[in-house]
Amino acid sequence: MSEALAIVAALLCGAAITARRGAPGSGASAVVAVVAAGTLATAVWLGLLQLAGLRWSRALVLAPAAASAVILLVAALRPPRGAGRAALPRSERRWAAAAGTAALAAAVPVALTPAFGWDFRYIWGLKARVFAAAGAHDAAWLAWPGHAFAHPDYPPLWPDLVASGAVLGADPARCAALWQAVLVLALAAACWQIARGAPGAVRALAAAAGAWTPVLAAPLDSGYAEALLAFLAAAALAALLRWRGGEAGAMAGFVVAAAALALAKNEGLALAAGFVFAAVLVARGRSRIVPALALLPAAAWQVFLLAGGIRGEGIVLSPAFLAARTAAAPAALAHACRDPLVLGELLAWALALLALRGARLGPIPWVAATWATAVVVVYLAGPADMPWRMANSLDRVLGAPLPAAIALALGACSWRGADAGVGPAAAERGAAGPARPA
Amino acid sequence: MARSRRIAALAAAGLSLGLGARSALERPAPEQRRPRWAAALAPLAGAPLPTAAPVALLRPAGVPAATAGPLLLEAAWQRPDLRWDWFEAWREPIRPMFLVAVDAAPAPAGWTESWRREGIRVLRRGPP
Repeated sequence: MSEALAIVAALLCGAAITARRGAPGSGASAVVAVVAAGTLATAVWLGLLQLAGLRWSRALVLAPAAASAVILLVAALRPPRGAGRAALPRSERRWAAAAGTAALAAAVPVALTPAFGWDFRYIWGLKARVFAAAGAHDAAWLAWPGHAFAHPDYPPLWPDLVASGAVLGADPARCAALWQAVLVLALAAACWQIARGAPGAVRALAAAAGAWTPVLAAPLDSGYAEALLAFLAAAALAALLRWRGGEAGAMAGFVVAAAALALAKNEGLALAAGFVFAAVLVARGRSRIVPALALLPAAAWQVFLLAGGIRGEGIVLSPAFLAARTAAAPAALAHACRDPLVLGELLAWALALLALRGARLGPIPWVAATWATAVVVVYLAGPADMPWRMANSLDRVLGAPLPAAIALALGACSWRGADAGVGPAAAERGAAGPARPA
Repeated sequence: MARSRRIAALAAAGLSLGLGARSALERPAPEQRRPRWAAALAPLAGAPLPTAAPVALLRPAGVPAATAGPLLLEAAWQRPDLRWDWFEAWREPIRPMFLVAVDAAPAPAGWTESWRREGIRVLRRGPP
């Protein structure tokens, strides 16, 4: 019960924030916007409480949800502004229902299995328990040398989401499982959005492929942060595509999704930096500052780490070390590829990139380039044993952004009977170039 | 060109779906569901250790350092309110006042047992 309460509280905040911005375009947009805003609001609120010196308590954790409920009630009593939510055509509704069913089939088993993965128990879930017990991001615990195994420098969004449940009395393992199921559903909705220019059947395939992406529902990765990472990467991409397509209002959603992404994991920070760079390239004049706001919460976390003397593992930039690592990288990669999952994901990436060949993607390749550079730097310059690290993480590193890439590829192709969307396909089909917001 | 791109996109989605279904069917090893030290360390939940106290964990005899890691991790999971490290890892000026042992090996000199339950012992620095 408390597990569900924590998630409902976050989603109420997300709904209130989204409602203040006006009605989103479709049901999928609403799901994506509410979940992204709800996750970010939870972390920001917990951070603000800590900054104010207030210990996280049941009442304080629930306070924004209560305020959000009032805002939503007032909004519901007011006459609707504008045209409201656009209804899907009947054929699209059929495919949307199919996509929802496929996503539910992936999400339900996740929801029913309390998280038990190694990294959940000793990194993400452990930090959630620590934060809940301390009523704060416990800097002293994070800086303790004996706790280096828990990656104290990792951004706090996933532990915060679970910790908010633990403060309410929830079992962290059940809370994480329920959150992951919500994230799988939201990821499917984000992929549906990304493939916006494609016909319903293709969008449904994009959504199903998103929900069933390897590693998200894998029992071995139960409770890991990849579902959150995959969803927020897809949400940021969907918002960027909409904004690039001329929906000025999509920028707020982009900032929220990118800000949450930067707090999701170190890979998330790299992806968010890439997204912000891409958006800054598209923006003009003083509006360039708006996407950059997405990096503020992550900057605040870095200041917290610095002030608390909390260190990550760092990187080694010695030329001799890097040369030895570079020479050893092909063998380490070949070793990691003995896992059929890694091999399959590499193949799926290659196919998605092949499908994107020639598509007018604007600045989006910068996102992939930033992420790939960060991944290569960490593998080559990280102090951990490279073959071990690659074998233990490459499936998740490749898997998290894969749903967004596949949905982008599906949306970028020309399909018979496709609607005029705002994705790369739409830009390719008719426009003289990507529309720029005013 | 357009056709080959469509085929590639569909193949990527199909492959991802297939891999996802395959990974969802994987069965975790029993020790992943129930970590090795979980049962042994469960009594720690009731140990009288003050919140935020630095606690030294004594590596059991017969468990080599290379494979002892999960014991420390599980201790942290059982008592996230404490500051954990191995007994041999402590350096001045921090001097832990509490020591946790998970076997019956003799306590190091200068430590006195203050609590015991189901094989878990809490020792306090100093004479009885």
